[in-house]
Amino acid sequence: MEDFDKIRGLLAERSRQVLPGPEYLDRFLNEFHERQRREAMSVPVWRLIWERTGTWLARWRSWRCLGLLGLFIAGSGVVAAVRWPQQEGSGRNEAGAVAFEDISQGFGGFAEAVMEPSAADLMEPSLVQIGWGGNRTDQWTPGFQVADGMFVSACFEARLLDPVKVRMPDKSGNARIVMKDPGSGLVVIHAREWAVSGRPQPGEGR
Amino acid sequence: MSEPQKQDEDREWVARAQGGDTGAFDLLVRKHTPKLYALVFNMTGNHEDTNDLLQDIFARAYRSLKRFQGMSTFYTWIYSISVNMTLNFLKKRTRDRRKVSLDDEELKAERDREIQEAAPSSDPVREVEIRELNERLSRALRQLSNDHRAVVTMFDIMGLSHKEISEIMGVSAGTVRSRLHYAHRQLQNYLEEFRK
Repeated sequence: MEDFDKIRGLLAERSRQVLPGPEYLDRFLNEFHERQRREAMSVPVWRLIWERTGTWLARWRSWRCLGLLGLFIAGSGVVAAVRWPQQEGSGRNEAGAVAFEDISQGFGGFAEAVMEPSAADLMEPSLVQIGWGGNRTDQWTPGFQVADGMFVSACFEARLLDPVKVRMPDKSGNARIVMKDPGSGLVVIHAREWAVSGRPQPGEGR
Repeated sequence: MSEPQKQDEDREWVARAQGGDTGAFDLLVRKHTPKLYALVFNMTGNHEDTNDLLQDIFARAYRSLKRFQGMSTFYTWIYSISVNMTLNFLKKRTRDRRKVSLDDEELKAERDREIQEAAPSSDPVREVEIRELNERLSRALRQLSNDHRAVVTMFDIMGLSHKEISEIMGVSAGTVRSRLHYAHRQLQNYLEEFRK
C-alpha cells in the first residue's frame, strides 16, 4: 500500500521526535528507585523476611536443605505435642479451674464442653490443655483459642481434630465449634464456661 | 548486536535480577525504556501519562519477575505487560474523561511541553512545523480505537511482526492483520492530504 508507506514514514518520524532526551533515563530510574523504596517501607517485616528467605533458598537450590528444614519443623511439632500436656499454665485463660459439664451421655462417645463466650472474636489455633468430658477424661487435649479466654477442643485417641466451622456467640450466648475427627465423624463443641489449662481431676467432666 | 545476542543479554540480566540483583533489573530498564516509551506514548498521546504508566509497568514487571519462566523472550513479556496496562489505562481514562477539569488538562499540556523541550533544538521554525505535523498525526491516531491504535503503533511505528504482535496481544495473527487493515483505512481517510 504505497499511500500508507508515506503515512508510516511520518508516524515513525513523529515517534522519534517525541521521545525525551537521554537525561530522561537517569531521571526515570531515580524515580523508579524512589518508588521501590517507598513500596519496600510499606511491606510488612514478616513478608520481607519470607521473600529474602525464599531468595536465599533459591540461590542455594538445595532441596536437601528444604527437606531437612521441613523435618526439623515437623519434629518440633511432634515434640511440642508430646511435651505440651506436661506443662502447666500454658493457656491464656486465667479464670481459674472450672469443671466441665459433662453432657456427653447419649452422644455415642461425642464430647461437649461448654464455655463462656467473650466479646473478642478471635480464632487463633494454639495448643492448650483442657480436659473434656466423655469416655476419655484422662486424655490431654489439643485445643483452639476462639476468643479471649475461650478455648475449645476435642480429641479422640489423641488425634488432633481440625475445626471445620466456627459459629460465634448466638443469641443464647453460646459459641459453637464443629470439629471433625477423620476417624469417627463430627464432634460438636458448645462453649458456655471458661476452659482452663491444667490436668483435669478424675471425675471432672464425667 | 544481533537479535540472538540481545536475547542472551536479556536472559542473563533476568536471571541475575531473579536472584536479587537489582542492578541487573536497572540494566533491563535502561535497555527497554526507549522503545517502551515510544509504544506507550503513541498509544496515550501524553508524556505525563506515559511516564506514570512506565513506572507502573516496570514496578509490575519487577514484582512478577520471579514468575517469568522464559517461555517467551523478556522483550515479548514486557511488551505484553505494557500493552495490557496501557489499554486498561485508556479504558479507564475514557470513562473518567468527563471528570477532568480544564485546569488539569492545561497542567498536563504544560508538563508535556517541559518534557518535550528538554532536548534543545537549533531550528525553532522547523520545530514548530514538526510540532504541528505531530499534532495532526496524534489527532489521527486518536480517531482509532485503543486496540487499533495499539496494532498500528506496534507494526507501523515499532516495526514488530504480525506474529510478535499476536503473541503480545494474545490474539491470532489473522486478527492482527484485519485490525491493521481497518486502521490503515481509517488513518488514510483522516489524512487525505498526505495521500497526494
